[in-house]
Amino acid sequence: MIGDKRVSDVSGTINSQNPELILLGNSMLGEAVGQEEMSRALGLPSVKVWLGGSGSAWWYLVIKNIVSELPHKPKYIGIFFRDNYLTLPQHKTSGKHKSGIDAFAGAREETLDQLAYFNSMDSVELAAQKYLPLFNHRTQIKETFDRNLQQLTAKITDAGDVKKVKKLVAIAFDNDKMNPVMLDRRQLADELAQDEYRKDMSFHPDRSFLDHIIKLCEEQGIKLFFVRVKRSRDLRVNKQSPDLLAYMSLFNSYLSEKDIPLIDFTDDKQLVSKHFGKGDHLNRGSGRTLFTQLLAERIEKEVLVGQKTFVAAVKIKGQDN
Amino acid sequence: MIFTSYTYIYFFLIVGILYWGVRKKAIQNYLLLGASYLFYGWITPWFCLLIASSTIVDYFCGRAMGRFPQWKKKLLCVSLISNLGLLGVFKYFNFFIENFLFVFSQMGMSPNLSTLQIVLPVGISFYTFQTLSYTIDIYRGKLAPRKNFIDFAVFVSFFPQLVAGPIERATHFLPQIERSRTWSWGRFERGIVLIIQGYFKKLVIADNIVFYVDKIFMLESPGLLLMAAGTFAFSIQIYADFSGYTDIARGTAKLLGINLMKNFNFPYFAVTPSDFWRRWHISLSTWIRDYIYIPLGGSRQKAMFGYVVTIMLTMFLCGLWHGAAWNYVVWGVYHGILLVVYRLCGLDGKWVPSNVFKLLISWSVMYVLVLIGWSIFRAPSMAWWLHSVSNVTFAVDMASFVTAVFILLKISAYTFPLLLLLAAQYKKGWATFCSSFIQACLLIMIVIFHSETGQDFIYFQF
Repeated sequence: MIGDKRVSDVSGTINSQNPELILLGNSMLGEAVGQEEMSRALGLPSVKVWLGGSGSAWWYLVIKNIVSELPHKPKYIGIFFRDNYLTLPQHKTSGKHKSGIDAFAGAREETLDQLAYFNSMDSVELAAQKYLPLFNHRTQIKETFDRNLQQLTAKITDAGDVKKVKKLVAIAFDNDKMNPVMLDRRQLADELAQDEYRKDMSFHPDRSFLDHIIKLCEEQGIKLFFVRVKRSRDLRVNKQSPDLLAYMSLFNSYLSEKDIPLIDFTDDKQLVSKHFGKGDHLNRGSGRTLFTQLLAERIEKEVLVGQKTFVAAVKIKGQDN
Repeated sequence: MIFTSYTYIYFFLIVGILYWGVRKKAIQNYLLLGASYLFYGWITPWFCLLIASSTIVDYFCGRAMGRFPQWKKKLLCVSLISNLGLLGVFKYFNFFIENFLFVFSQMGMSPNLSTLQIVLPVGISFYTFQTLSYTIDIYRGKLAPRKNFIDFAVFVSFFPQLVAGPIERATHFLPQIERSRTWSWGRFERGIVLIIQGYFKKLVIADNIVFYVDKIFMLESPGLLLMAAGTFAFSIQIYADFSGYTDIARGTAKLLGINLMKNFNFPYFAVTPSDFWRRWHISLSTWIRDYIYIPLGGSRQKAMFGYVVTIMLTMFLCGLWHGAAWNYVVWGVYHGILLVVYRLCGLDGKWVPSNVFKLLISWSVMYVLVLIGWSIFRAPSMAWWLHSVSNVTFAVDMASFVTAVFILLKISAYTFPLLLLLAAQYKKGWATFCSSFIQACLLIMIVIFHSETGQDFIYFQF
């Protein structure tokens, strides 16, 4: 964690802005909320902290390792989520997402290891984790391997450096260059295929990061709230499964008992298809403008009291959703 | 159940220990049968009904052909209709309906037909062809019908090769099931080597390359450079994926005392289309040769027209076998055209280049032609392929150049250890130690580099 640029970017910006409100999430937050519009609407020092493709594990780590260490704690934290993401501890913690987790993790993260990895590990994997150092460090080894290949690429193509190579590859595969139908299909297929357990609609906050996030905020005296974003699926009527509806009902009750507001945009009639962009996100034009305004109104009404001053935003580079 | 799951490791350990523990061939075959059905029905149990019905129909057709030779033709028809009918319904029904509706809509009609929500049973293309080889060989008098139902059922459902081949012939495979198997440390070692090789090809090479292949084939209009890089990457991916599966299947079978046929023989070293089809998916190409191409006349036909019709029909069916989509059909027809063109140029059959220069030229040309075929095969649709080819840009931007170079370097890095292993295996003597050392390195690389977003084996969808 120490020395990772992503971490220093987040810490540095938060420390310099002293926000009263931190918005935390993945690219749904990053695409949908405009920081300057939000600052004007709320009149509150706010920071937008997002990592494309992140899940509850990363949100937990940011609160635990960054926010909790701030000399001046924010008054409010709002977490953006989709469906049952908050009770899926393994979600977005492996494969290409692991480096983001490792970057924000401390030297020892027992809760993270248990919830995100050990609980879902097969006995073969657990044994490998315990007795094979190579297995334990495979993410770092792969990253070093990739970095060396990127350096070689930079040399051969005269591209400059690793950062430039990564940027050029990202440009070559930019979502704007993709066939939109195939992109949508792929994103939905990826969600279903890679994360079989996301079909798990059982509500178990004690076996997830949700309880730990709530506890951390309570200990710090931070008012927590959640924002459930609207998905392109929600544009069609009755597209939430009965299991998901039952899950959300339990989730709602749970938050009500703890006096934690839930701002749910799923059924918001003002967000229509023209506000959506590629994949599941709102577009950065009309979608972002409208959503930011709607969100600010709901936050003001349901969550905060405060003064209007300044907003900054921190985007963590490097990962797609 | 899939080879790349931890469940399979436990499954095979239990099956392997019990198998060699019981020793008696008859009990081993009962065990294999039970294990194979458990393997096949692990995720979707009702698939077992299909393979069971295919087994029962062909067993009784075979027995009846032996008892009532005067009804051989009719019984063969029963076998053909039931197996091809299964294939037709589960694999091609929606394809035919969609195209039927399209044709009628062009004529201004809209018949009242709809597609069905049909799940394609994994491996159906493989085991139906395998059982058909049994009944056809009995019909031709090359094989005696089998009385032992369990042995025959194991032949149909043998789990290492059930879902993606090799498509075994009854004349080669049945005798191995029917005789006793003895333990051999040499065969065990060879099996382990194949399994390690197979997992490396699948988990390290194929599953890490697929990310870039998928991205390139999702681009709206990939330029020539990215298209070429993506197609080259796909050629490596599909070879590593499919031959990796075959290696695991053959290695597993060896551990059970059974030898499955080789399915690949360095296909990208081919110098002509005929050569390519003697090296790629050998079990399918020989099946098509023996049961479709030769009965239609084969290469003995003197008249060019007859030969052209035969080869085009054969390759059309070969393409269609791969999937219910036009790009597979076009890929098959494309290879048919290559075979015809090479024959017209006198380069068919067992032609070999007479010197190194001709070898290099013929190999380069063949490899480029194979790549063009793979670009059709991999294309998400024919419309996408036609659009990409007709709008191809020759201009090279920095992003495409850097991306293409990065992909090539990554492929080189992942495949290098395997090339070393193949070179070491090719040489004998001192290279045995090198070969063992490289295999250990492959194992370590599997632990480190296996992709955590692994995909199903490509040929599962066929």
